[in-house]
Amino acid sequence: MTTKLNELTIKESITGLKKKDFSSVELTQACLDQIKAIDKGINAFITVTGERALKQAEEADKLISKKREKAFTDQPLLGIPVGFKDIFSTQGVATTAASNILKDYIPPYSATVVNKLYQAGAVGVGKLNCDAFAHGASGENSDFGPTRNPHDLDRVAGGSSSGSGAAVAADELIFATGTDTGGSVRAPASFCGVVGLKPTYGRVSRYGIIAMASSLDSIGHLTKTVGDSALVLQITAGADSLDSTTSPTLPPNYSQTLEDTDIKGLKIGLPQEYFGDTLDPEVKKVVLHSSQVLEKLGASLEEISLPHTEYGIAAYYVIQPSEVSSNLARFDGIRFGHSRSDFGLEAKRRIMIGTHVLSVGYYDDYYLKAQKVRTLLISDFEKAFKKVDVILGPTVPYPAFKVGEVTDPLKMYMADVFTAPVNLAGLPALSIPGGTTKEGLPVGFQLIAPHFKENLLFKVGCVYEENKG
Amino acid sequence: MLSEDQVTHIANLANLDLEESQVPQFQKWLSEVLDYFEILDKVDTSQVEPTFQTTGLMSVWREEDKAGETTTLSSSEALSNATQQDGKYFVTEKVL
Repeated sequence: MTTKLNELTIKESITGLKKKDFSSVELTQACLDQIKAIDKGINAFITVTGERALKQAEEADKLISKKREKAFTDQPLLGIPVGFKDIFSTQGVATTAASNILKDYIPPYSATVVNKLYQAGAVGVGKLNCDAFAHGASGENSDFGPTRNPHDLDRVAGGSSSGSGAAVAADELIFATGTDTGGSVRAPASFCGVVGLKPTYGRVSRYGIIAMASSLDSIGHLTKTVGDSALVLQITAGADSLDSTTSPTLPPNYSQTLEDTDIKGLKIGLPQEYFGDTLDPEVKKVVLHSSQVLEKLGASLEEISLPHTEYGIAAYYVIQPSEVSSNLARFDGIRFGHSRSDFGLEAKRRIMIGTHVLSVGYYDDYYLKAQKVRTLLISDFEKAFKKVDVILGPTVPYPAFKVGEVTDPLKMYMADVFTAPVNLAGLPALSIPGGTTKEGLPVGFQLIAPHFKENLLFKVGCVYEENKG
Repeated sequence: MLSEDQVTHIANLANLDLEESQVPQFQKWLSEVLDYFEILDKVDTSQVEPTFQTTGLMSVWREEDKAGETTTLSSSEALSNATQQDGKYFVTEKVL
């Protein structure tokens, strides 16, 4: 085997573990060795749980020896190393939200998604760096230092799930969890050249995940392939009595839907508003080329319009900070965490924006207005999906920028222009690596589907992966 | 442009301590963002209802017989991250 074990995908790892080509301990150790070798330069991890991971891997190996292939029927991710974005509560393991406020916080319980992944046999390698409280599009708002892009260490990894994107891209683990409130799984996926899924709002439980914006937070993950993404969603998706916003509809068998590789007749919409002058020409080139790959396989490309796109950022940055100001009110420095004066600048900015737009005299003009514009953005997508099956466009308007390059907060917010409207509408979206710039920087494109149509995203994504050449 | 008094007022509402020296900087940042929000005035929403959540779910109830399964924390677990606790209670500054 010439591939290093930590470079494997979930699918390859499971195949290898089943055939006993290697053990979960060897696989996990390979990831831990990689972390030791390179993470100083990347800073993807806040906490590495090496000992725990190897114990879990040993248990996985025992089960595999005992039950062989059946072990994987019971636990589909058995022995696979995973990292959790550091806003996922992990019982007994530091959960910092990448903020000084929670730098000493050790949760007494785990998030539903963490429990589900452990029950599926995954091996927890550590807690991943991110923008503090998930506020950011670059990873630079972490109180533990920015995560660097493995493709160019002078550049950002994208945020807010920066550590997750970088760790997967750098083969420090096999897959990672993330959250996407305005693009925070998809942006690092695009910048780091990996696959990032934002599921439908309500598809995956938010219980135990430090809340950012409760009507927008979507619990996703980053993987090396689209097929892997489907395997993870199979575990994380589903109703949860601890999160009353989860959908009662049963998730389909995502992997089964990947068996159908025929996209003839599939209608793909390209929003004209997503391909304007603000789009980096190299990103445009990559994204259009990706759409043409699908067209050659029988899909039809159609220009559509999402006419309220230009209001998306304003609506999002009224609504999200409003919900943030409410959710971060719980950090009182009494029951847990340090004093509120330890909030970073971005958290303070967002809390204050939210507090202001919700306050008496301003609520109608700002918050209520934004929620009405939200209705119009949702209606744009609904009308589009009457004409096309799936929407394709850029994930972020540009490739990864240099650390320290974007200093104006408002300019940073603009990075969400293509991702945030999807969150306002609660739709699922998948960012897939489409190619690179001349300098070798990854460029992702995103597919957006109607609610609960993640299987369509996976199908199109897989077909693209198989045929991109 | 927000006034410095408004910035201080917002900080108070949000229970955030702002140093006096920080107020001008926050004044600039917040005003820039609030100015940007004016773009929303261009949209006619007179006949539009707001959307507060996208699931359409309402009044989700927990099943009666599952009431006992709700996750609870013991006192010691709940107090485990407290800044100050006396074994039974969180200890805070006197309010009255």
